[in-house]
Amino acid sequence: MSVAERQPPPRWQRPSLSVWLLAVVFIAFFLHGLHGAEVSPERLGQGAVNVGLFLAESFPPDLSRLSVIGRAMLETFQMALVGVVFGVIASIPFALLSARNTTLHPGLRWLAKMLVAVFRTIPDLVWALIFVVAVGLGPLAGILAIMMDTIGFCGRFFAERIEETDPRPAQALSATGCSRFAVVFGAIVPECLPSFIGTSLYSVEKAVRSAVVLGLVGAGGIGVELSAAMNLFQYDQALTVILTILVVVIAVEQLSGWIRGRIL
Amino acid sequence: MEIRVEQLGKIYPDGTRAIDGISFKLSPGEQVTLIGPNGCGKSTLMKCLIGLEPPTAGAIRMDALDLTALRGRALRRLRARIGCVFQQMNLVPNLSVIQNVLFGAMGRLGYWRTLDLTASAALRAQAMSALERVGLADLGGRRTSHLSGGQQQRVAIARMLMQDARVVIADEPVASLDPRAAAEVMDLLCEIVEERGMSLICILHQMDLVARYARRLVGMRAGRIEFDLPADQCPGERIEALYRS
Ligand SMILES: Nc1ncnc2c1ncn2[C@@H]1O[C@H](COP(=O)(O)OP(=O)(O)OP(=O)(O)O)[C@@H](O)[C@H]1O
Ligand SMILES: [Mg+2]
Repeated sequence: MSVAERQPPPRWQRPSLSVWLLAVVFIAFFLHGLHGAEVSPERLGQGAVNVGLFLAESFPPDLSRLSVIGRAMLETFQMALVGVVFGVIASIPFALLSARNTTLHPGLRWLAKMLVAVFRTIPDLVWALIFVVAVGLGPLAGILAIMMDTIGFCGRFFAERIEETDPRPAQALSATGCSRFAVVFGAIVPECLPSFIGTSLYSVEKAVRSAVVLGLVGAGGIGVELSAAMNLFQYDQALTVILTILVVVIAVEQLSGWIRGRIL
Repeated sequence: MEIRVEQLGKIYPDGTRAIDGISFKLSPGEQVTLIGPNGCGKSTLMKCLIGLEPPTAGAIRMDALDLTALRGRALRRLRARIGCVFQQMNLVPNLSVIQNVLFGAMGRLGYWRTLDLTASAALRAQAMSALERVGLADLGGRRTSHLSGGQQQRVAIARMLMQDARVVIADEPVASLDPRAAAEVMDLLCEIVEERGMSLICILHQMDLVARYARRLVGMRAGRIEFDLPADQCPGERIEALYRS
């Protein structure tokens, strides 16, 4: 058969029944969700007007409590930092146990992966609610919630990075008679370290954002200032809080991006 | 160290029969070159010899020790006396050259005493003289990934020096090097093996290197030894026959 006669592969393949079914289910959920939100032109119009009113009332921002708000923001940032540091430290054993090439036992691997998945699946706000009950209102609850969130995130990504390492340097070290511990910390961890640092920095960014929200349920930080200002209709103070958050979050993202650019 | 391999067999878990009844003996200080087509089981034999892969039949004796019976610490102590140089990626790329050399002593001294940050001044000096021996004394602080392939193989040799090995196993140590770097690394390896009286098992693929460096030549094919002769008595047809399909 000459090249000219040979047919190119079909442009697209008929989706299978399961794909059709999935699409139908997806569309049904989507339409029902849209219906449940009761979207109507009047509501959207009213919403736009209300946002306009909020902006008008909040401007200019009230800077009289800036020092209190600044301190709360600092607490938020520190909550994020402390939570991430402990979270990252705790993530390393979880990651080593749940990576195929460094785990001690398949059963232990399964357990570590399960735990990390549980830490990740439960939203940080829910962790905060649990820890507020456990240790009371204040930043400790927030730190613990961020720690759990960080283990869920870093534990998984660290483990994936560990599984990606080239086995050859580790094998060469084993061949010199090193213990498993020495192979892991001599060959595997040094290879993963830049990526670990990058992931941890990203965790700090993520944690600063979530620490803001954690304050809303009383887990310390600036969130409580925001909810108080909103509940008392002090929109000009609320705007100060929002702008402070904006400045800090952007600064943290810039700084962490810069550091990541230098190490990777 | 005397090595005796008796009726060694290796079948991988997926059913691949990589080694099919190999026997040979290596006296202390003896050098042997191993050749054979791709997939004939050379690397598998090497891995069995350092206990990285458990054989499925036969025995490996090193002096009085039965390698296949060793586990844990005893196996690691034996491995510490066998230096390995592989084709590529022997070293940890993210670490400094001197750190990689120091790791040669890790089997003997453990992790903390060979970590560059905490190693003794004496050990670091020893690492520097190993680097000096392979001609890389001025690159000790360089990141290993920034070295050329030939330099990396020299660092691997320096690490083996640090290890104070009695036997050297080299699996295609120069396969990824250009002809000149290959000759330099082979010269260095042979010199060091000779001056320390170590035994050497070296896998080679390039016939010009075989002609130049081989003393005792072992030809493998499909998991078996086809011949085991002094290199200068080995007829060319027998080598060619190894690679015929
Ligand atoms: N981990 C493994 N699992 C299954 N089969 C393997 C494994 N390692 C090697 N093999 C198979 O065993 C056989 C011998 O492989 P080996 O690597 O020992 O060959 P080799 O002689 O070193 O070849 P080359 O010259 O290409 O390096 C091959 O068929 C290979 O596919
Ligand atoms: Mg090979």
